[in-house]
Amino acid sequence: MAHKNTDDDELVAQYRQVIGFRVRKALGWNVTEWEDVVNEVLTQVLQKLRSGEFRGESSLGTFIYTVTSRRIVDFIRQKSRVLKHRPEPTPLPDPQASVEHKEMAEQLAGLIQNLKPKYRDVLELFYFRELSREEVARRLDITPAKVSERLHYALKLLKKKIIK
Amino acid sequence: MRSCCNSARIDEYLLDRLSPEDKTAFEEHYFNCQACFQELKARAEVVGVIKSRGRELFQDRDLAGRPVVARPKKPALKPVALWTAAAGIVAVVAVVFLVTRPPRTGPVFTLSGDDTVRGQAIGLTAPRGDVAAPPAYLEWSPLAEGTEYVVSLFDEQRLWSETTRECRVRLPEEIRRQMAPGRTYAWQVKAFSAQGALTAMSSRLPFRITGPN
Repeated sequence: MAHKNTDDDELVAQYRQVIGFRVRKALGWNVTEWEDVVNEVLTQVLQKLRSGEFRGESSLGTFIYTVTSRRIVDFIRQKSRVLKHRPEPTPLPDPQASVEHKEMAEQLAGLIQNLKPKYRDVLELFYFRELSREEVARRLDITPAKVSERLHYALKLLKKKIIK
Repeated sequence: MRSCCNSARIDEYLLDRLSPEDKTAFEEHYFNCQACFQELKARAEVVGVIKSRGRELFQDRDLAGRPVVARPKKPALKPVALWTAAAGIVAVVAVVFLVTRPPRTGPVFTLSGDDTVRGQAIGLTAPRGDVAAPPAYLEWSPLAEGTEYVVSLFDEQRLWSETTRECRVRLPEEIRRQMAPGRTYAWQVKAFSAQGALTAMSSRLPFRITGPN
């Protein structure tokens, strides 16, 4: 299945974010080369589409996921050979990563601080202290379903700020 | 557009609690599902802020000091004779408990700072201290049947990690070749219940390679 050049921009626009997320989740959110890796993945994907290497046996998303995963493994191998002292990778977005992120992090932090205590409790115990739902329920003397409900509601409020 | 994934699954991915197979399946899924990816991305932003600024955000609270299980309300003040009888019963129960309690398998540990007690530590057997060559196996004392262990090897950062239900794991040849003489490494084991909840965690145990690899 040959790929048309006119589709390139659309594909890049659709998959750049998801590839970027996967790359940073794997390499750490502080790794500065993540954009290079994303660009390399996109280049490889476009080349493979043009050469007909993607035959439509899987979905395009799965194909791009496979190319991304392989490139991540290669990058880690290269890094392991070159670097002796690497920073500890951070598994989640670094709120200090950019000005835009910093502003949003400030707003989110303000919202979290202003949440009702019952919502802050579940956010703290579940995400910050990493207790399981059952452990949070025991600690707060509520049911696990109630924990899920409070998490859902708290996140719904906070996500509005991000999606806006 | 609503995410088709269970929110618990997204949380488990963000908190690195999925098995390698489930993690791969979920990643492949969000490459194919824009709604789930948007949900994941938004949730990751929130969790990122909570993780990085949690101490500051939750500093005015004392959740860590709360009892794990709710206790019945205290009875009203009783006469002295009743208190004396109650103290006697407590003393007898305490003696019985001390005599019959099972041996401890390790100290309690904390996950973040000094406030989250989660269970008992895992006893790491080998390697430890100075070792002549990169070890072929990492071994630890087993916990309950059905426990899943996530074993990680570190130098400055995590070099390698594997999930197993055994209480020993073979270090891949590729990783052993990377280990340099004279350097100190550390390893750690985390234990998860069949439901995927973290039940125990060892400290990072250092060891030094003294000989050639």
